[in-house]
Amino acid sequence: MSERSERLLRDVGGIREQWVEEAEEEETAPRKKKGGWKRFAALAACLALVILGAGVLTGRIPLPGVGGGGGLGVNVNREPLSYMNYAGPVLPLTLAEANDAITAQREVTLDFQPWVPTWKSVEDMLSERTFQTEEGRQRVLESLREQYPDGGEWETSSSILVQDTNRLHNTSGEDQTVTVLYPFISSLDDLADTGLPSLTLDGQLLDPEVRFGRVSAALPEEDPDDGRLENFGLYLLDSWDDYEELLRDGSYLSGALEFRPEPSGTAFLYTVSLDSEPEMPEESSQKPQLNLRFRVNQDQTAVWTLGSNSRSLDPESGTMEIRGISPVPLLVLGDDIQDLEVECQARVGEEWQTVEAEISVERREAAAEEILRELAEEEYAYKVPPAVGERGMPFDLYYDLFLDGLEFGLRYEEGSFSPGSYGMERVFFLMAEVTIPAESSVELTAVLEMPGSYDYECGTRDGRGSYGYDLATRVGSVLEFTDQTGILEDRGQIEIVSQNYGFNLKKGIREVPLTEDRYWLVVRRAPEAEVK
Amino acid sequence: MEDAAIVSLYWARDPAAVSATQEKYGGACQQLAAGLLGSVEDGEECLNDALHRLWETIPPKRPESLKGYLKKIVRNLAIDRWRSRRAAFRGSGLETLALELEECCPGLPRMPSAEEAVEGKETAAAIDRWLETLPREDRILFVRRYWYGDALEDLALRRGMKRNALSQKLHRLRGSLRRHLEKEGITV
Repeated sequence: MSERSERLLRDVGGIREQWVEEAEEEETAPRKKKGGWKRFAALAACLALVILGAGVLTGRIPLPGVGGGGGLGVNVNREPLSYMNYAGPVLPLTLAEANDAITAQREVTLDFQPWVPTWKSVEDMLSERTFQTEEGRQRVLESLREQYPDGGEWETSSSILVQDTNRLHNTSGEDQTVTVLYPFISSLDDLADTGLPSLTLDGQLLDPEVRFGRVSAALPEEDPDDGRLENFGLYLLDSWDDYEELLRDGSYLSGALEFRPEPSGTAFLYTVSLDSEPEMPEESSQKPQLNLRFRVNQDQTAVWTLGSNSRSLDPESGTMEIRGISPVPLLVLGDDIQDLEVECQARVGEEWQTVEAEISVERREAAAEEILRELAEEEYAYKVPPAVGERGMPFDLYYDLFLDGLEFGLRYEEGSFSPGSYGMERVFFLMAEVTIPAESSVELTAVLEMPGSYDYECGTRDGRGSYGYDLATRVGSVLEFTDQTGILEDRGQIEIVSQNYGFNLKKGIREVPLTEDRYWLVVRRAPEAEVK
Repeated sequence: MEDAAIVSLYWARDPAAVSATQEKYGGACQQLAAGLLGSVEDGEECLNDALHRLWETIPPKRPESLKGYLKKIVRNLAIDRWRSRRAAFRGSGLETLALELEECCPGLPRMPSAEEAVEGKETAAAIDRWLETLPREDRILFVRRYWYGDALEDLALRRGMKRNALSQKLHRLRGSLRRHLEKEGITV
């Protein structure tokens, strides 16, 4: 370990007491299962982080579409098998429109290959640190060699590879061209990390369009009230019931297919900053703050700023106040703000006092499309690793997700705005047009990495925990499946804890017919496969 | 007993101060040290050392927050213990935290050790300024991870996030801190 990082670790100990106390609250907060407050948090994000006239939420501002998607209630998880961290089920292929002439045979392979330990050397670990200077990398290398005297460690994953093969058969005497949609569950965060699943047609790699369900489509209809406004854990879908309800009537898919965000109108970017440090009263121990006051057309304007800035809106006069540390950024969509006044203030005791300061206001006006695209490009370059890149996470998809995320407010970090819905799970669809010749078949195969669902108490920390993998056979699909088969590639890595598939490793039963709507498989690492 | 009353006991050199402190804050502080070091026994010893240090330093000190002062001592003692017996704590929480924080160390020449004490305060103040710019939930996340040493799994669970997503978020925060320290000319 380098002296520098050790010193930094110690120096962190010298931060202000108020931050330590602020964080202490979390320690004493009761631990909850996913659900409950987090659903509220999603809604709260609209309320707490998006400071606005009501225009965007009511859909009156012609910017990235909001208000569609049909808010669905999300049930409390009632399943006997539930997880604190639910990754969702593998979902079945569907078509954009039902077609009586098409039938499907499905074969789903659950491959535990990622569970097979692989050796990761310290050089491999170092290669991930492309962001560091050469000097920093050398320091890390020394530290890693010290920490891993064997030169590395065995790594395993709790994800599995799913190969979902669908043989589509055209029973009619005419060629049939259909739009296939392969659904999978992910989040912008996860996609930026792993990239998209692959989709092949008769072995040929396709380049499908990607569509996704709106954030709003999974919001509860009623306002929950458990009061965790400040938390931003945007996870709404966390049980089989949630996904089943979301996909059951096809409206979520319809919303995904209709959603093509096209921002229009004008955007304004403001940066308000101090040109130099003002002379502060001796009694003031805090940094000076900028206090911005302006009028806003509440029906036509939305204003975003740094999440930690305080803000208030007087709905009667339409006057908004924002207070923050220089520089204070503002993104304005819709009508421009009016009568901007800025003061520099110092806190003395309980009061704010105005102090003399040189303040500059930069303002940029451009088409919303131009500004939002630039913001998204900055984010994309920052967020998507080169290894994933354009193939794994196309910019157009990222941009659409970015625009959808506007609904949940933007956050300001690293000089750019980013949507608050990065981590929110939703259902994506790989979409492609496929022609199936008369009385013939084609084979469509999706390969995706599926993370395990787990309960914290099961103990993932020591690698001995149980992980669950769910599979849906029909939900959300208009295809007529003539038969479905489940195949287990256990790779000698697992023992089965519980299931309803009918696999039997001892008897060598690794292939079973699937007739139920839902299948679950809970496994843990086999003792003989433990990494010593 | 109120903190002010306990501090008064220290000033009066009344040994009841120590038992009152232990009763009020002992559990949380021991847990903090044990979490950082990955050892319950070492957590206990850290707490005992911290109580001793409290007795030695009050008076002359009169901390505004007894709890905050004690926790800071415990954290520093845990780091000292880890540094002096590194091999015994291989793989401990502190080792992992230090390795993660390596990403935040700007690639500038190292300052002479004589200036370390002053520099440490400057670094903490620079980190304070950076923390001020963060959304509250990001600030809490950073402090929980690098001040309290919370495990990634705990942090992910409390936020309803996947561990990988949380790791990414922390990675972004560390990158942000590194750039901030560079901007402020801090030579960690």
